[in-house]
Amino acid sequence: VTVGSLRGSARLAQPRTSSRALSASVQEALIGYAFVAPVVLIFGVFYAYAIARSLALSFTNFKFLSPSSQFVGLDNYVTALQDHWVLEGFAKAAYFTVLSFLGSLLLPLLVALVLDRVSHPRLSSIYRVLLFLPAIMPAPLIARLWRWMYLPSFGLINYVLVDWLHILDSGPLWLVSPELAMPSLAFMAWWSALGIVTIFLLAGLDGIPKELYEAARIDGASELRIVWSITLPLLRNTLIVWSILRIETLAVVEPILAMWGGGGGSAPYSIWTWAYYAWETGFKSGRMPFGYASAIGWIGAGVMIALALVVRWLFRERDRATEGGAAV
Amino acid sequence: VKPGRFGRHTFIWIVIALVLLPFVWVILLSVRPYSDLVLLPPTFLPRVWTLGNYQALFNKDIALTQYFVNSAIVSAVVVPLVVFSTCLGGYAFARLRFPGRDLLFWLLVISLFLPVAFPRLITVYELVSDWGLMDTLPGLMLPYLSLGIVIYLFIMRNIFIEIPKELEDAARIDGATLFGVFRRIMLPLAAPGAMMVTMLCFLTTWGEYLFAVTLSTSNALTLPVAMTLVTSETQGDTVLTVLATAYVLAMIPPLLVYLGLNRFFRAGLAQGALKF
Repeated sequence: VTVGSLRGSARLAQPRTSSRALSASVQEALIGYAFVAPVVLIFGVFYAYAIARSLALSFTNFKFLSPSSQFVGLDNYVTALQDHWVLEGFAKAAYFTVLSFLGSLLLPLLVALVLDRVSHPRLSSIYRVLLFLPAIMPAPLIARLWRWMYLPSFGLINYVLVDWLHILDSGPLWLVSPELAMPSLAFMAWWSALGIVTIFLLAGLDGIPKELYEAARIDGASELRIVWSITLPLLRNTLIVWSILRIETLAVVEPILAMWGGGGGSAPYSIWTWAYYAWETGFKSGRMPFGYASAIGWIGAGVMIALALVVRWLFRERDRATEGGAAV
Repeated sequence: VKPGRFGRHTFIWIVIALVLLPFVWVILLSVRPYSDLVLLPPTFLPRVWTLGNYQALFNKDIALTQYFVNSAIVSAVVVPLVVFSTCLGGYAFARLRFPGRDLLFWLLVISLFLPVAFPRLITVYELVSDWGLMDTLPGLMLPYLSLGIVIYLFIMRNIFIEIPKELEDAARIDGATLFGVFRRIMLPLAAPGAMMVTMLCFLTTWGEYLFAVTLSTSNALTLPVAMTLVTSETQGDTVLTVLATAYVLAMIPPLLVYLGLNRFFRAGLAQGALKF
């Protein structure tokens, strides 16, 4: 529609021959290609090529900087699926995902529900800015800060638990103990997700007309009842989108690297997720088996994509019926 | 029992206090001497207040300040390039007609849904090594250009789509060239979106970790990476209190950018920057 009118108006302004109009559209196309060139170039190298190359590598026994590499078919995948570091790594990643998902959804949901009922516009926006602060901090520094918080001798956690509240007699070794390492990591995830998930859920809550609540209150419904029968059903799409986004937690590796030191191998075995194992194997083991590491990465990608599709499929029915939610 | 309005605010303030407590703690660490920190019994507030840690950070030639400069250089190069290229691309995908446009755009957007950070990292490592840029700042900047570029492009395209077409048409009738229209009319109108991208891109670049920790070992360390390589907080030049000062320094740029540009983020969202 619009191109025709644009071209027509251009012709009105400068009544020339039709070849002139043709060259205008060619010119527009050329400018278009020139404008998208930088983005497409960056994308082409660091996404399209990078993805294709790594997929191709996963079918070879390529090792970084080694001259010879052969096509080995599915060997890497077969090996990876029998590698206990990979299999247990998936179990650990799933454990972390479940632990962090629950806390980083339920707590923010509670905060968002309360914050949504703050009608004072200025305070409401101040609250949002303050709650969002952890989200702007560099993720590795968040992990470092929590490493310090967990320090047995003068970390804040043990100070509060032992010296202040006297809940514990002596401070546990949060990051060293195999049982505590993963929950400690997940607790950090709760904290760092609190603000950003609250804001995300609030975007969904903002889309629910307040009149619905008023009407229910007039009818004598309790706040709990309102949340359960009105808010949560209408928030459904937002929650589904969030759950699908959180599947990426399965690939957790950055906070592990940041908390336990970049590749010192000081991390206890209990937090060696498959992605962390792939990173250590690919970049820090002497042989640097890029083919094998790629295969692990692609198995992980396949699992995450499959999970996303399953979640999408599970909640397919009412999707079309309920519009709204966060505009994401 | 119905939580009244007072209860609501109290609850929110408690949550905010818990969220901000670690930051307060680390700021307090940076203004107390290490000898005070290790003194028993432990205290939350410093018994002795000092700025000595900040002096130590700058005077004793601890490399952390150099890493701060590295971070700043990387961001100063990457952010303008990304904003510039996504403005151009966003405009073209929103307004210009050229064969293959929509196919290309959706190809780009699909990549947002692929959880392939690790496979990408493998190839990027190989590329940067082939280019001889291992452990150099350009070796970080180049892959950083790709961080989030698709989502920024998506944002800019949405922003340009929302600008009324009539403005453009009117200028074209007045004889402005296509490029002139872009530069003098569209770009100023898209400024809030560009500021939003600037903010997001800076925060991402400043805090990037996976590429940086993989691609740099000593010369090109950025501040966040350098800080995560410290293995002991209890000895040498990098005791916890000195590290805390570096931490505070590292937090300042993102904080300033966020407080300065947050309103554009809101404006951008209101303009439908993230609408699918």
